[in-house]
Amino acid sequence: MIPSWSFAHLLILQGGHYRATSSLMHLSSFARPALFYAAWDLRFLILLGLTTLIDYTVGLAISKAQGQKWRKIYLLASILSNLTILGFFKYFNFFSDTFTTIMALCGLQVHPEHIRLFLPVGISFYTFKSISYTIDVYRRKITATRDFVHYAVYISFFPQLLAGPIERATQLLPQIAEERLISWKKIQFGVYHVFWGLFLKVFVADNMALLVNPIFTKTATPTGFEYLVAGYAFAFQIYGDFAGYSYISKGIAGILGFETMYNFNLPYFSRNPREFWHRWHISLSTWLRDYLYIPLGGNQGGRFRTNLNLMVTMLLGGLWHGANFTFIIWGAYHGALLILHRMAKDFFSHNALGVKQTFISSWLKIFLLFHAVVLGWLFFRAESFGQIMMIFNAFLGNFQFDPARHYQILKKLAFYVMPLIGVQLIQYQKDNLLAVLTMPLPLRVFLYTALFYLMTIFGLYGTQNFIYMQF
Amino acid sequence: MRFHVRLKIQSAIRYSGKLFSAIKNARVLYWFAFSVALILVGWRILGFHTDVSHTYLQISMKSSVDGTAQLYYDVGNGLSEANSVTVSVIGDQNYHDYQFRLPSLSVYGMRFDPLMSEGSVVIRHVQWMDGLGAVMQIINLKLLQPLNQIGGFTFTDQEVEVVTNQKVNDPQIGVQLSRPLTVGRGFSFWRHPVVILRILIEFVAVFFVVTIFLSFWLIWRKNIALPIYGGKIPFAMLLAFLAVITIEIMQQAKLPATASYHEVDELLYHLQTQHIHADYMLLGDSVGRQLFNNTPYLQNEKYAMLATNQAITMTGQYFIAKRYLQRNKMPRAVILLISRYYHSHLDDSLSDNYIQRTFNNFSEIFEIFLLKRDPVFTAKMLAYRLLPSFKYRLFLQKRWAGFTNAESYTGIPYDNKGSGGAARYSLLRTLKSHMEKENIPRHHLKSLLAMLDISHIPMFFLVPAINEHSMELYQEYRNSCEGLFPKLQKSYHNFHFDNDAHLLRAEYYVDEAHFNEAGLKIETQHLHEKIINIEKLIDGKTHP
Repeated sequence: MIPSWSFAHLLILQGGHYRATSSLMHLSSFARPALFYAAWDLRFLILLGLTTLIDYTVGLAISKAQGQKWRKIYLLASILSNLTILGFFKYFNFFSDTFTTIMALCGLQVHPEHIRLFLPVGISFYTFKSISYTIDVYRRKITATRDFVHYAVYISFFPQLLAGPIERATQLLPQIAEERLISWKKIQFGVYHVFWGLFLKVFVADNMALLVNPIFTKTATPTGFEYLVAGYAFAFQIYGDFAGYSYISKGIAGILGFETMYNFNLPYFSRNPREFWHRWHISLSTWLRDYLYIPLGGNQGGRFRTNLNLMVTMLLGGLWHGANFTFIIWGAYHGALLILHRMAKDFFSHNALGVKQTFISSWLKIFLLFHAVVLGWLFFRAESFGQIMMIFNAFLGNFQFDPARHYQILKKLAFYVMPLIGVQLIQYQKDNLLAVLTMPLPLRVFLYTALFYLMTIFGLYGTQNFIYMQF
Repeated sequence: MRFHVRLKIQSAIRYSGKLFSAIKNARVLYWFAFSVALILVGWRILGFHTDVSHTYLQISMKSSVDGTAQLYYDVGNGLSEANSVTVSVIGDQNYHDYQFRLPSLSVYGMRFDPLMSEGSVVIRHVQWMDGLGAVMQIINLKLLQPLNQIGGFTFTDQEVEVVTNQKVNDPQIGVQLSRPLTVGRGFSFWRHPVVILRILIEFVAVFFVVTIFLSFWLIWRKNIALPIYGGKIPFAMLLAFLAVITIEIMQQAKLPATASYHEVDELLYHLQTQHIHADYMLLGDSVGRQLFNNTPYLQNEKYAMLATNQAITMTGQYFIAKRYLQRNKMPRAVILLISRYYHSHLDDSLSDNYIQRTFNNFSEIFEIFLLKRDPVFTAKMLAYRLLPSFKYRLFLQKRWAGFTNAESYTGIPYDNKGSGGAARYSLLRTLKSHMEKENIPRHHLKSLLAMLDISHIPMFFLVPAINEHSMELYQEYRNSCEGLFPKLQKSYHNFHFDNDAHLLRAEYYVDEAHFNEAGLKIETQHLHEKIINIEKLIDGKTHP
């Protein structure tokens, strides 16, 4: 659980800062999130401070450097230092274990030092934020800030500190430097986002976890049908959990006077893998596109090179989620989906076989893509590679549907997911994430009341952490 | 000069009006709502003031015969029929609270005529209370003296038994006051913070509702849309909020009083609705409950069985005892049989259902807030207190959806891949360990002792036999016997602890702590002996 006292303290005191631009005010804006973060672990704060200090200095050095060569050297220094910190704390034991396994396969026994490392909360998020800043300074998209406190507030911006989004400095830094004003409208939007985010978390995600977790325990031997249902449930769990966090983060930032990005845009209504990655975890996918895929050459180097770039990007995107082969497989799977989609698109356009988009074809694509994504989630959620093999075995050899046993699970799944799908259908139909706010007054009143009661009566409180906090 | 002052007042009114709105018509509406809210709240305050300034003498007693009791009070001019109050007494041998209204003057002495005929009454307590139910003074029963036509007047433990002579018509008991009962001037704010809070909330709510109502009325009748609240009020959210309040009030009326799945609720409901008049209060956890329930000697009305299953911890024990003492006769002793007294700082998953949901009187919420200093924890307790739908959500889940998510309370954690070992270095923990000299269960153990100490009720802390596999628990108890408990004994002379913690082989248990039949046979025998010893000790003290 989030250390609630420090969190409440942040919310209450941060509220007094609208019209605050002085350094002293900003210093306290940095100090308090720092305290909040240190509430988990004092060592986390040291690491966060180190990353902040390095990239603040590098940013200034790049902007002052005389020649392109030095600019490049400084940038490399920043990227290397960030990746070293991230790699060491997040991946050291993973690579060490992998190395031992490979050596063992070759008949060599090695006993590398196994270090008991702690994984700082949100390290992947703030490291990527910090890297994007130095790259943007290098690319002259943004001027390096001279104000250390401004930069520290950007990196430790508390609504986004634990699980993103990976907001770009180009978007957030100017807002930190500017005077912020509170308004009824911002509060209203903020409250709406927090409310919807809470609903996604406590009603959808946490209840889905109750369906998912027993299936993935080491002792369980589920049937293929149960894995399928767990896949559906996990798809909504991870969406509710992560999108819920992102909505709450956006809402809180909005109440504090900041305009931040949407991290999700109805991803399960995507019709192809490319569209899915435009709608899912937008801050990470655009980060990977801008700072990895395009520098690798993007789609400019022929078909093979493009596909290779896609695969590398998605593999690293998978690895970003954690030091586990299941994440790498998930990344590779999505890379393969993107490549397949690209090839299919080329094939159809080359042979002039493009079909006209109809209502049915559109929904069919959504249906198929959703199931492809669900399969990916099973890899993502699996505890080990062995469990992924178990899933395939169960699908192929033991796909049993037992109405007496499974009816109750399906009923629960439908019950917890239907309100979400209902609201999202309205959003999708109107192509507006704020469509609810445009509904007629009586409908809105009914919806708010209904959602409140679903949350109050069926919500789970204090039992599940946010999944993406571990990444 | 007068003109100048008038101008200043006018500009002050104008300025304060502008605090509401810059638009004159809207300002009128706001002022109107403000006035309505002020009148209503003023009327409420007046009501509360009237209630609070009328004081009562509340006598809790049981009688063997129906009749009339009369209280005479002396306001400085002696006792007289004019300065007396009568109430009807029910002769059903059950305790009832009888209230005698007193004047808003100083009372220097009283005389109580419990019956007008032959019979007997047992007086349990005498309290001077204000009109809102706050106790202003507890009158010591030792201040009662037999005056006239009283055949027997016996002080038993915490009670006075009065037997009137045969064929009497005016038995009298004198009440000697150590100091006059004087009502202070003004409204006793400090005694009723909840009332004040309620008045403030009512004021804001009335103001808010009236402005909203009038603005709707203006739109409907005259087609005028004034920009009330700057035209930015989220009406949908507000109406949804009002809908929630309405539904919650309806839920409160509709939900059955014991809409729960757990015996803690049953016990609290029992404590709230019934009087128990036992000599010994038995407190404990699930192990305590198992032993108490299986000891035949304890199965009678002499013992109030308040031990419950599940880890309601020392906090729960303390609150149960507190609720019991508020409504019932003081027991002669409290016996606490608990296997893990130090367990839980209210941060495990069970605290939700067994502490936050169940013990949420405002005083309890406040007490826990001061100890835990966790706003989210407190907010959840408040939600349980204010929203019946939230409190009884498992019941409503079953009713509405046909299933519950109650399994979450067993705590299925999401497998947290990667991170670990962070807790040791948590800044909060480090700070807390420096700042906190004692933990929550220990604090509530002390609170329980202090509460009992005031009424001179001894408490016996018993420990069941400990499973040989729970050496850590055994060691913890041994340490307490050598460290904490003797210290507590110095501060609270009513504290007695069982220095007989012993280990029992694992074959006598069904799990880590609960006994199987063979284990129960041994342990209930031990418990029986301990209870006998306690009773001997108490009887020896009471009748030396």
